[in-house]
Amino acid sequence: MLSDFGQVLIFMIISIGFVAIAVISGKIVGPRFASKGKDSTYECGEDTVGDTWVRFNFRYYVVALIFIIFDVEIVFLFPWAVVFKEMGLLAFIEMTIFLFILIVGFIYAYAKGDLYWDKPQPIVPKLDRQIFKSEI
Amino acid sequence: MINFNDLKEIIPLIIIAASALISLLIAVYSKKSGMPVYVFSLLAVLAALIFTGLNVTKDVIIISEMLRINPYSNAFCMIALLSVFITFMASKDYLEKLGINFGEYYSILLFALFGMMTMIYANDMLTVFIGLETMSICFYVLTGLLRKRMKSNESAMKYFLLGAFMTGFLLYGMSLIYGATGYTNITKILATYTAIRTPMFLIGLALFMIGFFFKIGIFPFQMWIPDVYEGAPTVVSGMMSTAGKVAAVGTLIPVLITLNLVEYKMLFSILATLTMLYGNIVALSQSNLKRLLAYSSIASAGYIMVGITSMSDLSIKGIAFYLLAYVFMQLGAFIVVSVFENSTPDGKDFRNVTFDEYKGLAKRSPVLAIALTVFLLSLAGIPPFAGFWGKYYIFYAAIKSDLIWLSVIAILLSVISVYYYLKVIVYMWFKEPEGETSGEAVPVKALSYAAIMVSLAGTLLFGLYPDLFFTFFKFLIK
Amino acid sequence: MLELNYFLVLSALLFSIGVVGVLVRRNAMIIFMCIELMLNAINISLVAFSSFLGNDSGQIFVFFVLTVAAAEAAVGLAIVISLFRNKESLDIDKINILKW
Repeated sequence: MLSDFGQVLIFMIISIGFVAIAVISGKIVGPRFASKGKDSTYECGEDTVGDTWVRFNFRYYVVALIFIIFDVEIVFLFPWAVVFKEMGLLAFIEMTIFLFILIVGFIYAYAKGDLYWDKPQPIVPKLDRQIFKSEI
Repeated sequence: MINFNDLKEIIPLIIIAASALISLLIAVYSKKSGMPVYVFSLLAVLAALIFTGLNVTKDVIIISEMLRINPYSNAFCMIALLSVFITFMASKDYLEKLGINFGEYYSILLFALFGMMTMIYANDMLTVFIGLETMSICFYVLTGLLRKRMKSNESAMKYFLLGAFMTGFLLYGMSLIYGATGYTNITKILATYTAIRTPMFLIGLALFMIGFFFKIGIFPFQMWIPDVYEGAPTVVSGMMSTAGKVAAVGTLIPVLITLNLVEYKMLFSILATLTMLYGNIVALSQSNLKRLLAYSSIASAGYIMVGITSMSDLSIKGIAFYLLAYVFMQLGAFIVVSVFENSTPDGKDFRNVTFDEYKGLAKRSPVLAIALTVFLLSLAGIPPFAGFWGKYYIFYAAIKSDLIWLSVIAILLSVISVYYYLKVIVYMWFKEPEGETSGEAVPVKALSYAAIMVSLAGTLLFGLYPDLFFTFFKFLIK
Repeated sequence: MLELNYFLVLSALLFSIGVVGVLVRRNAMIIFMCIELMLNAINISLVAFSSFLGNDSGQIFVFFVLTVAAAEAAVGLAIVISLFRNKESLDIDKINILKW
């Protein structure tokens, strides 16, 4: 009879073997033709534009922070949802208070304008010459 | 299950938590003016102070045994509230001058206060942890408030990395204690006599204490204190060195004294000696008053450690009184420094405001000089002021529990401390002012003035009538 | 059933890796990640204790540790960003204005 670790070991061997066979057989069997177009970075079929190391917009950071806070709150909501029926009204009130506290944080972020995302402002070309206008 | 009657007992906590949230909203909707949020948060702290003061003699365990309200926790809590109240009074003028009078400052400080109170009232390791972290995270933010200034950034970074690192140890300790006893509830842990002397429990306890020693600033974990206090905005340093210390001490001491670890007395007394030595000796070579006060904060952590070492009921009372006196004198001194710093020309970074600039302060603005003199003499432990009685009760408790050698060392070192405090006083009173600002009075706004006066009144009042404190909390000293 | 000790050893090892990382590495972000590793090592030991003692308090503790770690991460990153804007470096050996 296998011990607990033995079972884990067999499981590991099988899973590693499965992946290894798939990768190695692909290497051996599959045909390979290198070309310049194939080696270039894939960017939706277009030619790549600019450097990879660009600065991200700072807003992503703020949004990520707000996401983290509301993401972690779920950890408290799950156990609450499980025992909600037995606990009754009291649990509901408690969770309402908890969510209210979080919502205050959300209101703060909203009022500060951290969630406001600039709409793209298309640059409309300005024409000095009147001649085209009249033609239109 | 929560009993609704329990909510009545934690009104101060609810007030602080609610006002922290409300002040956040006020802050964001009353755009530029910091006035509404300032008045609101000041009133909230005052209300919490009054409500705590009304029921000081309660002794109950509430909210599923999560919180314990007794005269000791109430005393520490009121001291922390008082410290934050005085800080609030002095903050507005200082922050306005630096251009960082954000409404959020008050909200964050209220959240920190909530953390401190939770921690002091805690009767469960979970509550201790949450309170401690609420407090620490707010402190990290407050330290880095001057985000344009290198020093503030740097101190926030150092404080954050070290603080989070030490939280790891604290938490590991908690997990080991939980593993050894099977409880997270402190009352239950202390009741399990069999598990309490197992190696696992003792290692856990040691790690737990390391976490708190870091916050208090006991010897091997004191390195962050001068750097952080120098870089942080001055009123914030004052608040951290008083309220933060009160909270950490108020949480740790009842636990340690109940455990009564008599066999480790030697270890504790060595730590106490080293802390006092480090604080007092390094302070001798300082030339910046803010940094000097940081070292004196380490030295006073040493005196508190003497109190912890004696492990008696008497020593809790002594420490509580010392901390009360400490709030008035240390915070008062920091506020005077903050007012003074504001009067000097504003550079790109904090300038090092050295002792030289205090020359002739007595001629320029005598009231500030008198106040600072009283605070420094009180910190040194000169009789008519509150600091003397604080040290007196702590050393008295130490002598009562046969730690005569330790109290002799403590007294000798506090005599050394007189030297560096007197140096500042001599500079203020007996030297001629020099430099471009010489002769001008230091401008003091009304609210900062009031904060200094409150601290001065406290230092004098409790110096002349120390019994007031003990009769208020019905602590018997005999 | 596996023994409790395996979990404790795993947690202690991860914790030590975190501690060594904090002490050895010089980049503030990596130090920060090592601290997170320490907290997660503690979570393992709390869950293991909770499972073997048959009481839930340890697992509840883990929830709060996770939340606090998230809050700490948020504040920590903000501090890192404000430092980076002034200093353009996260090497903690270069953070040295304040001493003695």
